[in-house]
Amino acid sequence: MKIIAAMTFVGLAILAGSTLSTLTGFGVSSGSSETVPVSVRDNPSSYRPIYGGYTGYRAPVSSSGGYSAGK
Amino acid sequence: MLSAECPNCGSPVAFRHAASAATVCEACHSTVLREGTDALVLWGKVSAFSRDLSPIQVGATGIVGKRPFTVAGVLRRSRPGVRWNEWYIVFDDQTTGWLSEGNGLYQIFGGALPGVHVPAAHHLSPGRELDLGDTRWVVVECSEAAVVAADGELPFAVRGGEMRAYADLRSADGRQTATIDYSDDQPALWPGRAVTLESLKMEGLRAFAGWSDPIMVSMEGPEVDTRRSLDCPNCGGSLTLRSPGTTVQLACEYCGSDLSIDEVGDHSTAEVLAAHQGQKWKPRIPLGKRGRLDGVEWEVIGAMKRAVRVDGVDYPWVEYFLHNPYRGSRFLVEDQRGHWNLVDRLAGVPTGQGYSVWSRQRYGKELYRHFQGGKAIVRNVFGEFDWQVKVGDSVDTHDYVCPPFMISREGDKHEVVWSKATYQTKDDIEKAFGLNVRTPWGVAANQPNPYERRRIWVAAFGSAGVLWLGSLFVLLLGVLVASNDTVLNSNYTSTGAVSDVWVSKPFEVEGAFRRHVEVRTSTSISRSKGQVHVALINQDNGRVYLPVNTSRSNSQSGTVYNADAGSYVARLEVARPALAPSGDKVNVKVVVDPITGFPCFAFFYPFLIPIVIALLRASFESRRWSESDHAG
Repeated sequence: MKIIAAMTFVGLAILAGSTLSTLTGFGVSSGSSETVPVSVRDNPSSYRPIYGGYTGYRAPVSSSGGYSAGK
Repeated sequence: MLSAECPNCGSPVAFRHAASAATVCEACHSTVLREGTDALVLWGKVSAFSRDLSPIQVGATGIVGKRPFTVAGVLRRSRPGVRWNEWYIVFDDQTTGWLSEGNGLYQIFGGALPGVHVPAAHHLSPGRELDLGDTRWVVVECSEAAVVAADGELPFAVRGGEMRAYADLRSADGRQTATIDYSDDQPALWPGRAVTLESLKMEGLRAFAGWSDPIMVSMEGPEVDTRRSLDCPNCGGSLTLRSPGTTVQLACEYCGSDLSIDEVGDHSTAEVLAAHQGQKWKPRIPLGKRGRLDGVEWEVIGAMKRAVRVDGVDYPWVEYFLHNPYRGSRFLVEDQRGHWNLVDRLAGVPTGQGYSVWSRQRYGKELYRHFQGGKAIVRNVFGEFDWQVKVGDSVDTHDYVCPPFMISREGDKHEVVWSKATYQTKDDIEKAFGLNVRTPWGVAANQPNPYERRRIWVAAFGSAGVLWLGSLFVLLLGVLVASNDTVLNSNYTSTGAVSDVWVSKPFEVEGAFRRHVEVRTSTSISRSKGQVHVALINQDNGRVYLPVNTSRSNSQSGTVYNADAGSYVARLEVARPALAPSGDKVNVKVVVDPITGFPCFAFFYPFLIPIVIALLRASFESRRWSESDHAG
């Protein structure tokens, strides 16, 4: 009975955490992010990230002097 | 009723029942035989019937089924080391029978079965099966016994001391008992059945000082003191006999000598069987201690330590001999690891499911599996017993388990005895005797598996069900609370440039909670020729999130959890290693506060509970059987 009580307690804790997470969004990762300067905010098309997972290609620096996160 | 004078001493004797052929004179113990209607003949003498602790007495009444009877007389029979009573009963319709009382068992015999040819006594041995009448029988005991005392009226005349052969049988289905009486020239089979005093609804039983029984409410005659004092003939120690009449052996608690107990009138005498110089062993529960087990009060009157020896090592246990004058006797067994069992002798014999002692046995509704066998040897003896037992005595044993029960077969060349043990918890024993006993360790042969109880499984599946329903509720809650607001759903056609960029119109992400942003994108561009990358740019604070690209699949989605509040644009870029034909389609969809997924672990966790219980149950059984003959 003790083992069932303990496992039920853990299960209820998981449920409580899940409920809290569902209601608030608390506790989950926001993923990768970075902050760019105002010039990029004003001209979003000039943003130049470095993309992962694709071999053989690196995004060129914009001729208009756009921002690259890789630099 | 016939009243007359004893031909020997002239004291009054009476025949109260027409079915009685003889009566024992209370004054001189002569057997007086009735001839014809009123002639009396002196037949012989028997010893006076000393009063043991049997609750039955001449004149008591009872009912077998719907047939009332009266106890008219009694014979006490004896073979070396064992004594028992056979009560002569007369039914109201003047038919007769016998109520046998021995080893705590009561059996009713109605009469000999006519026309049954029984084998000679020397052809029988314990364990042998034979067909008599319509029944298959198993021989459990065959020996010789003599009438050693008598009282009241009897259906025949008796003389004391003549040894007669007999055999006790049990039906193979375990439901009937029988005895073969070799007293006459023509041996007779007496079928019978085991009964209890409660089932006989007996009245006029003897009252014993210090004992009461809620079922035996009708007592007759003066209260009988159950204890007698006597001195040890070896050391002179003052001993108390707690079950006089029943006890045939007493081990002196001071010097440990084995004493043979006999009855002379209403007095007990002791004779040294084996002298010892000191009692080195004392049982955990003292003699005379009373405790209520299984709803009945029992008194500890004896104890012995027995052991099986394997590879030169003794594996001992202690057997306490319990006594209650109204309920007979039981054994309370404490094994080496502190587990307890209450043991009762079986009236019937289990039905083997095979021809080997290793086979399964069925008794009642339970099917028992063979656990272990061995030779049990008596190591120490203490107090009194209703049979003669001495250090070194040994019997072959086989145990069969069906928790919480265990049946055991103990046998030698004269007798096979079956008993049934019921597992007792530490709390049962402590509550019964008011003692602190050690905490048991390991798993006993018939210890109930705690993970097999119905309530455990109800609790396991109940908890799992509640948690699983809770998971469903949280999942549903996630659907209900999500706004799932699509703020962007646009199609884009690639231009074929090396870096093909498109920026969406602004959209807002706001609120205190769940500022999640899901981005889904799909494209017709082959992954070997290019990828679509999406960035969410917060125009208020410059925060950029990269939730998704099509590096793994042409259709991808990604979510930014708890993004900063503000005004966003989505920047989409088709990245290619070289110029490529234009016209590929790209779709981008942005959803604010989407329906979030539910952690799979929370959904499947509840099922772990019954799985864990099943594993614990299997582990318990594994530990149980690792101690058996069938381990490995």
